[in-house]
Amino acid sequence: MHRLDARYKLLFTLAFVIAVVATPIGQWRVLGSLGLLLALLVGISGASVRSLVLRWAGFALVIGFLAVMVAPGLPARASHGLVTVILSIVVKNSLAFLMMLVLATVSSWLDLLQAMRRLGVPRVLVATLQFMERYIHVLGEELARMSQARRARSFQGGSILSWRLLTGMLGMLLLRSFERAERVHSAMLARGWDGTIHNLD
Amino acid sequence: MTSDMKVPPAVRLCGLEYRYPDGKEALRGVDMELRQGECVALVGPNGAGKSTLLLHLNGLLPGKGRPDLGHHHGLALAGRNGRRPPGVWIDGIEVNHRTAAQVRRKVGLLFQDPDDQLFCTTVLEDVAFGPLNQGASRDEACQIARECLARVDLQDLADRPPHHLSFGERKRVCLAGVLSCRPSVLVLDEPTANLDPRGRRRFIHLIGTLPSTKLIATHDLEMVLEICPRTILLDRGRVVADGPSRDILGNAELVEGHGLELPLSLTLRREP
Amino acid sequence: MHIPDAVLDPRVAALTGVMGAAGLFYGLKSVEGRLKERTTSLMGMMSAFIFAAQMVNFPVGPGVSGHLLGGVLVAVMLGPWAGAVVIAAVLIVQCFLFGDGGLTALGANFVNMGLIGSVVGYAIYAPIRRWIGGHRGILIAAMIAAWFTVLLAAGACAAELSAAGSHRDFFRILSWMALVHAVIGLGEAIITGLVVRFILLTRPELIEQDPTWGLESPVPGSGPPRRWLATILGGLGVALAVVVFLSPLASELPDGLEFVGQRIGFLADESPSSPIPAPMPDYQLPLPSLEHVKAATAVAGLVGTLVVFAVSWGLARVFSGAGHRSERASADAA
Repeated sequence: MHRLDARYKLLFTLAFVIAVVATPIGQWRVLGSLGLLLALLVGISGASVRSLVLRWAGFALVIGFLAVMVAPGLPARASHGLVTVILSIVVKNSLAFLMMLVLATVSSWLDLLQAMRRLGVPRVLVATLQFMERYIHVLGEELARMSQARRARSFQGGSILSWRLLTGMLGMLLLRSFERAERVHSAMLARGWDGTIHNLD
Repeated sequence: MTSDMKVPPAVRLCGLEYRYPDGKEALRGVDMELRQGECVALVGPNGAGKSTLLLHLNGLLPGKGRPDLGHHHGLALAGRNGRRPPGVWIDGIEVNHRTAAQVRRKVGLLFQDPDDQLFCTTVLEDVAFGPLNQGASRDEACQIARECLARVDLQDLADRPPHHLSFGERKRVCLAGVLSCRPSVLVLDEPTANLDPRGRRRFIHLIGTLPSTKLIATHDLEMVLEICPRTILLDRGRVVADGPSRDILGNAELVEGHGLELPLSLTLRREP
Repeated sequence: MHIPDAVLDPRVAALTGVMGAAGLFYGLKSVEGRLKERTTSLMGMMSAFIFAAQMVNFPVGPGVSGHLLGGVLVAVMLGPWAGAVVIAAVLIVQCFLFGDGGLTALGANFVNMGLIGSVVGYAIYAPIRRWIGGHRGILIAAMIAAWFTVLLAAGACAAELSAAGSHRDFFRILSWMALVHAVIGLGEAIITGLVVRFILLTRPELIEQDPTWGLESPVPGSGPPRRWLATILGGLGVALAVVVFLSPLASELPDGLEFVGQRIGFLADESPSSPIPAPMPDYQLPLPSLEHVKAATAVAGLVGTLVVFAVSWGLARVFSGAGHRSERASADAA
């Protein structure tokens, strides 16, 4: 499954999520079958069920709160009752959420970006996302180094850094990112960049 | 002698001046000529203007233009009255905004921080960046990239993302990325900085095997003695000395007067 | 802030999807046109920055922390549409890699955090900045813009969530949204302010230029008609943001009337609009909990606004004397 062309995986995921979201409230059979399909995919993909459940649990509170808030206003509430509506929302959201996680498991982010490009997403956007992915690692390291250095110098309780220090770090990171972007741009020009995006595949 | 005259120098600088937008002068009239195939070291204290000079060789200028968006890459200032217009010539071609693209094909610039230069998502893609921009087809670019990676002995890491590589490996990928553009002039900014001894040794060896004209800005004076027969000493935007490396780096007064030190190997030799 | 899947009415999801796509498309074109071949590196790097910045936790209380959203910050640094593009990139990554924000809600989230967050945010920022002038203007305008856009986004969020329901649902959801976001907005304003202040103290030239409309225009006030559009949009934005935290109070009136109507008997009994079970119709006071939320929202909004104004003024004092037209440092560099 990991080797399947990322385009199919992406399109399938999109179709699945839309199907889940579009299912009218109360159509438990439809949701049930979609759920079985999802379970099958989880099984094939080799994703760790435990980690999926943990991540689901992380959002459970938020979705629960939102479902409770939104449900009373929905027209379906009158025909199906409040509880059904709330449960419906939570189940649908869970199916969609888990499907996205499965996608992330079976496709590397870079493959997904390639797939998006091939499916017609503007090249500039995809190139930006690719760049972003590359530099998240670089900036993340810089941030880690900075916060270690600050922590070493702050004598206040434990690892709590004051807002001033934190925003100082952010400001510093922002400046460095700006300057790095300039240097990267120079490096791109130095190797013949003229704005036309080429790709190897 | 006549045949030499017909072949233009690989690099020629004439009266190059440059001033930052905040008024600070970086270069105050630099004259320099590099013959084809020479390997020349550019040494000097920090702030001497070495990096600025290197950027000029590729038609890239630091600090000009709107600072909010960073620099616009423009070119050398027109000469002042009464003097020959300063300029940069690569293989006899004057560097200006019309020739910038052409010049960039000839000059390969290796920056100091590999993360500034390694911006693609995989190693192979990054090394193929140059050829693709030069118009090579995907297959050609791929092949050139693999050759250059083999050259720096990293062919096995072609499909890795850059952040999985060590610092030394990233530097070598950057070198491969520069080589894939097939430049005739190679300009390197502090190539051995931050490398561990083995990485450094490898890199020095690699650089030594490259046939192109080389200009190396560095603090690594031992490397200079090893692979650069000629040294140019830059301080405060001016060329202070230009000659055989041993003579210049062995001149304690000169070297210490401009923020450097005698290389250890020369010091040891001096001791009675 | 991120709306998950299945919470929005499908029509709302579709509509905001189209709006979001159109806005993003326009934004990409605008940014590419301005930045040309610099687009990829700058947008990519800034997106990475915002993503990394959102990981920094600002402690608010025991076990509670907040983080920067960054819409206004990027808009201040790079302009409104660059800000929107950056936010879009961050949202896409968050959605696909972390499931944070639903796939079908991407449109709505982008409208709230990208279009409102950056573009309207800039429209609020620019006129205030011009009016106050100098570095003080930049700082104060940025903080005010950050505060109001969060509230505005909360209002939009409430509108999207309640689109299928009645106006009472809207006000109910709005109260909750606004209350929560008043706190978030305060944090956003302060963090944005402190970062902007840092930049102004170290590399002010990065912000001084007006990225879209060029402060270098020779005759003040002769700016292109877009300036007026910005001012109107910004003013509208501020007004609506204020409405966000005050209107739940106003909504009491209809509730009150209806309640009275029911008591007297000429209005039919309607099902309560709150998930909390309705008290017996005998009670004099309508649903206490919801009323508390509404009051709290209004208070939070008013207090928050005052705090933002006060803090921004205080932080900006360090720039007194910067003058109305920021001039680029020419002499005494290095």
